[in-house]
Amino acid sequence: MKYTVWGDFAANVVCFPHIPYIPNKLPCLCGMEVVWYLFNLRNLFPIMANIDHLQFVATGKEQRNIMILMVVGLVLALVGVFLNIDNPTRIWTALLYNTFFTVGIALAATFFIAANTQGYGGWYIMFRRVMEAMSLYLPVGGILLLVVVFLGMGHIYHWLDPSLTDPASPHYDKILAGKSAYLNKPFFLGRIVLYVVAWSAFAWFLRRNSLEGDKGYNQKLYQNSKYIAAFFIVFFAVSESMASWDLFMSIQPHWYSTLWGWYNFISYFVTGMSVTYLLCAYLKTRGYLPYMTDEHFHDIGKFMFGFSIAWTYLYFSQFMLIWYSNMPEETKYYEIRNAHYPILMWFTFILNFITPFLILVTRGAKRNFKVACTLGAVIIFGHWMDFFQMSMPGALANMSHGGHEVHFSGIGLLEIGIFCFYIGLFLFVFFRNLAAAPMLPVNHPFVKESFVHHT
Amino acid sequence: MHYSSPIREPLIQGNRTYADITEDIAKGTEGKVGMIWVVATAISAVVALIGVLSIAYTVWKGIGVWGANRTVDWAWDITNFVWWIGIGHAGTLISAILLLFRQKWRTGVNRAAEAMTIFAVICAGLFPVFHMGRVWIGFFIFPYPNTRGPLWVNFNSPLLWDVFAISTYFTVSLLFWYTGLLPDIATVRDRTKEGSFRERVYQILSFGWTGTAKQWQRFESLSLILAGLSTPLVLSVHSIVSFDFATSVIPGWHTTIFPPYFVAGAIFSGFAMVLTLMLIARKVMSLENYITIAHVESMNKIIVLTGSIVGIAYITEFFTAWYSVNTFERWVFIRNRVADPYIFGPLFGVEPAPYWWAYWSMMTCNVISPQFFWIKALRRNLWVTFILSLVINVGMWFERFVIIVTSLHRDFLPSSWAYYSPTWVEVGIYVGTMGIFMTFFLIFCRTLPVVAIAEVKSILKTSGDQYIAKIGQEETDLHNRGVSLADKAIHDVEHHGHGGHLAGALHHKD
Repeated sequence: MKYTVWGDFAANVVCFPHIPYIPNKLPCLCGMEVVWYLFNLRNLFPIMANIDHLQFVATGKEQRNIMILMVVGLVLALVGVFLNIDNPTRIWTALLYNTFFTVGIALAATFFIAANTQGYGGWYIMFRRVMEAMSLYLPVGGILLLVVVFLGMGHIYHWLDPSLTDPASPHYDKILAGKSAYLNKPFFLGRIVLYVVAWSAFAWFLRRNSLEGDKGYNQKLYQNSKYIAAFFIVFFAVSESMASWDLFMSIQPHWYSTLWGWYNFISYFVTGMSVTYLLCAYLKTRGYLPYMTDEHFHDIGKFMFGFSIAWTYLYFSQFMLIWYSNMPEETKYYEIRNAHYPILMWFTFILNFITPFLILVTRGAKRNFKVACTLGAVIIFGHWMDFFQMSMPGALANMSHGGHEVHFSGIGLLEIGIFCFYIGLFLFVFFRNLAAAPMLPVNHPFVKESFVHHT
Repeated sequence: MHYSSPIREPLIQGNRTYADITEDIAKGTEGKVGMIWVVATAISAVVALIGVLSIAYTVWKGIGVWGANRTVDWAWDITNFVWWIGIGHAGTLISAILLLFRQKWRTGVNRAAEAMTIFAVICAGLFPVFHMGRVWIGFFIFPYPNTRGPLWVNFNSPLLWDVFAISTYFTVSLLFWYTGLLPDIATVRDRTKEGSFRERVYQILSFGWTGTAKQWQRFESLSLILAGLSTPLVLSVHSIVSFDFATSVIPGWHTTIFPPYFVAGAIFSGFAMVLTLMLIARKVMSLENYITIAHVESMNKIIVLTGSIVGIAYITEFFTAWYSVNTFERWVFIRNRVADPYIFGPLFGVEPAPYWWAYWSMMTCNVISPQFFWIKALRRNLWVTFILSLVINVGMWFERFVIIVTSLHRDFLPSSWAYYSPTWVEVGIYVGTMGIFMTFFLIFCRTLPVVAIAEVKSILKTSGDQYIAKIGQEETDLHNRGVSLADKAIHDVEHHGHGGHLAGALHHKD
């Protein structure tokens, strides 16, 4: 994290040889630091810095670690599948929420780019390419989402049972029949395809304009990006709510909550900001992003802190209003969770609210890699559990209709394995896309604001 | 930040210097009182008097003089309460949330918007107080050990949470507003004639501010603390107002989206009110250099954003009412609200809702009208902005009326169905609060700097038109020479450190 002299030096000598190097920080160095500076081999042999901070290249070690993570995840997941072979609902629901969780991180990145483009954000240009690389996971995750939904929906969504909407059937469900104009297979699948295609297209358009800008300063391009961003935000505002109703709210098809879509969004948005912090911090320690300072990290930290509270606000609003009114058709959702998953329910609340609130509130914590990265991991894990509790309890309780035993299950090898695999996959796609373009959009009209940014 | 990209629009026009800024803004409080101001204040005071008389009549006769009945027991009065509370939200949003998001344009309008917050909360507070009926025992709402039994307030009631939320909101907003005013009041004081009455008044009001480094340092710390307190208040106040409805089991009231949607609606209406008044003020007080078209456009963007959020919330509610397959939910939405005599009533095959006109006024004013602001030319057109800001204020009033009255007037028990229409007393109180609000606002415009002098000065070197033009010229040269902005930025950072490229000497820490 420290702004090192040799970092500047390397940046100058290696990447921008036409700019004369003047170690302006020297006068304020003292004692050991001068000695360290003088004897640092990297200063004597600048080529040994050996890193072009504008072009990311994944090392062999990185690639290997990602592969190990994916393989370990896959093995654990397969063991989990084997252990739960009699419970396909659990397997498919675990796949569904993990797939969407990583898609959500990419969506958060896309939304962040779009919102900042539209709102004249200048400070984030420094790590914009990191967020672009995150957003480009959308097509990959989206296709996986389609596969999981297409193959597994019969095991996740109770309302797909045709006998429920058939008036002649003994299982006829008047309420579900009333919803069948919205909750029916072709419309449902069509919607999911639409979301995936449109989200991916928007991410791709934003990326295309960003890469186009590398050819030279072009203000029209920036204006064009603003239009794309505006259309994305409008589409996203509607589609994120609908996607959350389709994928998660309809798991308990009798239950409904108008706040559901926004609550869902905040959950993956705060996760996305935490992932951004972790990835930027990692890249920084690897020697990339040399001009990204404490100030930028501080601001990402503010997003982690602020949106943790925003999540709590929505979580509380939904919970409190349902608890207060105490209407059976609404309390059903919390009743299942409170009765069978009490630890999960309250532990999630502690991880996602109490911990970030108490620790990230200080200025120092947001600027300290160790503290903030730990908290970032906590937030990611907490919201991963939140997605588990949005989907799994409802799916297991609902799909046990019709004579099967009631299943309740905690988080096990299956979920952890799938999660590890998806982390690996996300990182794999992320690093590939990061390596595909320079790490700084050098001609962006706000690039200099990002350089001189301070809180 | 000492540098702004030249593609940002200037926020101070007319090549102003620090001295010009003081002169331009402080002169509104000096010299002879203008005729426009006198006439406007006189009219406002008369209107306020109508309100006071209507309130007095209510207290004398009891709230039976209102149109509210056993079925629609919350109506006009609570509609106005929520409407006024909402109006105040722009001020808090600007002073707290836009500060966090480093929006420099906030400096042009924050002072007046914060003032509106305070006056709007005063107006809002009148309604529940007089709705209580026996207002002389209104202090019962405060929880304290008493000799009445002891009779405690109902801590489970959202109405009591309102008492806490709104009084906290009022206190913090007042402190924030007044703290920000101190340096500016001192500026006005320093321009008064020595030994005059005005000097003594401003001397007291400025708390002896002299602008020492220590005072500024404490000022900054206090501002930061108050901004930290205000940020959750922006969300909490209207959330708790929404709990008044959403904790019930009344269809149309009980819905989980209410808290964030009420907050968005409040900000929406607040900005509409700020625009209505500031468009007049900038013209009358010649503040065009400080409240520029760029400011108006930014506010219009917030209007289109929050208006669309509100629109999505309406659609979500309507969709969910259908999706719930709950007879009562569907009934309230279709038969109490949406079904008009011309299109939707015949379409659904139901008789028209008694208040269909209120619902469709709300939809037209709140959801359709702000969509015009997607067009840049309309966002920057002052007449369009002014008219739409009025339309939105009407729409937001209808929103609260629709929520409150249409949900209540035809409930689970058909024998108790009733229609509500206001009496002259209720209308008189509502009109009167507008008079009170305007009277306060006009007095504020005349006695205190309407634009935050010190804060505007803090953005001069980054957002003044002359400085932006200079940077724009430099960067155009760079583009012509084929040097990328990043190369230049790296060069500057190397030579001057982060926060380099001082366009001016002023250190702006925002």
